[in-house]
Amino acid sequence: MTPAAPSFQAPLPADAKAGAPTPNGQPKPSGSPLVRLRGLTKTYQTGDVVVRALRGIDLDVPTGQLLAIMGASGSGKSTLMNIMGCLDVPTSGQYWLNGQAVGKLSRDELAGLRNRELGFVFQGYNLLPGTSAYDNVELPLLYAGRMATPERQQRVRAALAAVGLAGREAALPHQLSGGQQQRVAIARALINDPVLILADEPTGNLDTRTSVEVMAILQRLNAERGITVVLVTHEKDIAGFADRTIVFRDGRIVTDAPVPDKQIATEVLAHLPPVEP
Amino acid sequence: MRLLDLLKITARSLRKNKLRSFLTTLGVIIGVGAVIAMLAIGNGTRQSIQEQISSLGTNVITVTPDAFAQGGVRQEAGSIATLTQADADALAGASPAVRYVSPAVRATVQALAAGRNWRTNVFGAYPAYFNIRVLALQAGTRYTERDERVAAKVCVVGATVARALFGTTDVVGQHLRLGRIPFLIIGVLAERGQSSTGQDQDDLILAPFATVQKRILAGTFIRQIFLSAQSEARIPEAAASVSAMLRERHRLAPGVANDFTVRTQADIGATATTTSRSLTVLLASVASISLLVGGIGIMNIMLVSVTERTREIGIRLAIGARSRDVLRQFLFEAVVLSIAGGLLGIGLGLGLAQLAGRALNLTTTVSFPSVALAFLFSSVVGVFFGWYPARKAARLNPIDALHYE
Ligand SMILES: Nc1ncnc2c1ncn2[C@@H]1O[C@H](COP(=O)(O)OP(=O)(O)OP(=O)(O)O)[C@@H](O)[C@H]1O
Ligand SMILES: [Mg+2]
Repeated sequence: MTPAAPSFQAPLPADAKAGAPTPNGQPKPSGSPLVRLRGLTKTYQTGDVVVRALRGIDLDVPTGQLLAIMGASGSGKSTLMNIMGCLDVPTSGQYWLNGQAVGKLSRDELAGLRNRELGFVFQGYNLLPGTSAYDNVELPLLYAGRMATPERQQRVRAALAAVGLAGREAALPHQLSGGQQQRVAIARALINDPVLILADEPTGNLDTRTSVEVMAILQRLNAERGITVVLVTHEKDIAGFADRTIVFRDGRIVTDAPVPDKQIATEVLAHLPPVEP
Repeated sequence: MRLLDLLKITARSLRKNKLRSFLTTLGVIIGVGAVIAMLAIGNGTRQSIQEQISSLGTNVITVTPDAFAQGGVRQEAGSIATLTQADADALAGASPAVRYVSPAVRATVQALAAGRNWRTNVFGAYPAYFNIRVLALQAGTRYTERDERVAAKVCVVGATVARALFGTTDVVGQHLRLGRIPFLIIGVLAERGQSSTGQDQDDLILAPFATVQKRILAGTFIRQIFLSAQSEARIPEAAASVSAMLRERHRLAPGVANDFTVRTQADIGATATTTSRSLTVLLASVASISLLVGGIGIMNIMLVSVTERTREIGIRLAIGARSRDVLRQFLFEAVVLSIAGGLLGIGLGLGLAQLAGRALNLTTTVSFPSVALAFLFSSVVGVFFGWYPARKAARLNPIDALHYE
């Protein structure tokens, strides 16, 4: 846990478009990076076919960074995300999360990490079907352990409010638009106050405006709460909202550069044509 | 995870698949229902047999002749029956434990009256027979020792005979003929209805032993000796002395088998109880098999459900569910399903027992232990058959589960 991370209890404005990132919310680069990868490889073998999805990744992600990963299809981006998210294990190499060697952890300890330190946002939302927005967001709290019901309710409501979905608690996933579903997924990802949010093509299924709205939420979480965000995208525009971009090709990082003129999603949103009713 | 939260998650996912949940439990519902109904029918049968036996009378001992002694030892030519009236009369003094004694004979006769006739059985026995079998009268009186001595042509009829001949049970003082012999009806037996084997217990005529033996059968052998003991506790004592005296009277050397059989009510009861118990066991095991099939049904559907919900499991694992959380969730679903099935099955069982009781003319009693047993069994079925699918779900790899198509 990063003690420096602002408490979740500080409520955010309900409207995602309202809050601009505050400059002093930007965390200072600290000594040891939140994510440290060394010589990471991943090889898939299906029958005779061997796919070397990752061929030696060295990467440091400092706490508080908003990192975008780009690259052609099949270049290994999702593979890396899954390993960083402790959903999959590398074939070789080292992974330290918050100074902890992940490779040494048991299955249950990894589950604990995913529950408390990590948040996932997937391209396909991955909400439980037929389960209300409230129940979806509440789920990580149930797995986290004991918490008094009133506190839990308050946290779930606050998380939904933070992504602009106050009042839609009872909605089922199929009753929500793609953007709204993705926002529920973000609320679920941040309910346990994670240090790292991993978003694999979070805007892949969304139109431009909704994509920018989602990015605004991620930027705000990053800026106001110091949550480190790693996101995969195919779109240059989306990568433009990050602090830094790395590009993958054939399982290797070929480019690693800071974003020269980082876009602020709320500002971009203001200049987009308004939605047709 | 707290139990309450687990319950919430379980309820949510069962509610999402109402039809499937219901179909899953159906096997258990039928299984538990069958077990309970079958046990009730078995118990009902046993009870009715017991009633039957006690309707024989209280503390009854019967002696029947064995036509041929084992090993062909007996020599007396033409002696098919081995019991005589003299045996019966002697048994009255066999032991102070013996209270009443009566020989009994039976003849199948054509009864005639008022131009109607009716085929029935006439029993010849001493007046004491009424005491031994605890036979009550709805009208008139029983015959007396004097009637017995003089072989009086009097009789007591069952209600069925009375109705068949006269169309009424108000027949005291009427006459009927058995063959050519006219009898005066002096009493009508209280109605006893059907026996559990479906016999009409009111279709008979009782007359003094001497009358039936001399006037109708014209023989000397007797069919059976009825005795009653002073009390239930003294039945074994009475039976033993009866046996000893008959062996002596029949001059059976030590080691030679009895040429008669002494049965006490307890013996008859024991045989009947064993029979009805094995019936109950048979019924219950057939029903248990259906419960087992129900359990396999749960396992089958839970396995399908695990496969179908692999992605859901992946999502749960991704947001931090541990193996045991997933295991518990699926195990809990199976247990909740089978317990729900158990409860509904108890309802079904009660209904079936009622129906069967009406159809089979039994008083089916659903005992608490049988309900408890069925319920316990159904939850065990849930744990047992839910375990494997649940473990399968819990062992899934997060990323594989998440990418499952
Ligand atoms: N479970 C698997 N089994 C076998 N091969 C796999 C598996 N998962 C990924 N791969 C292979 O590994 C390579 C990298 O895949 P990955 O999903 O990381 O690509 P990606 O960069 O995310 O692509 P995209 O932009 O299309 O999402 C691909 O060639 C893919 O076919
Ligand atoms: Mg991918």
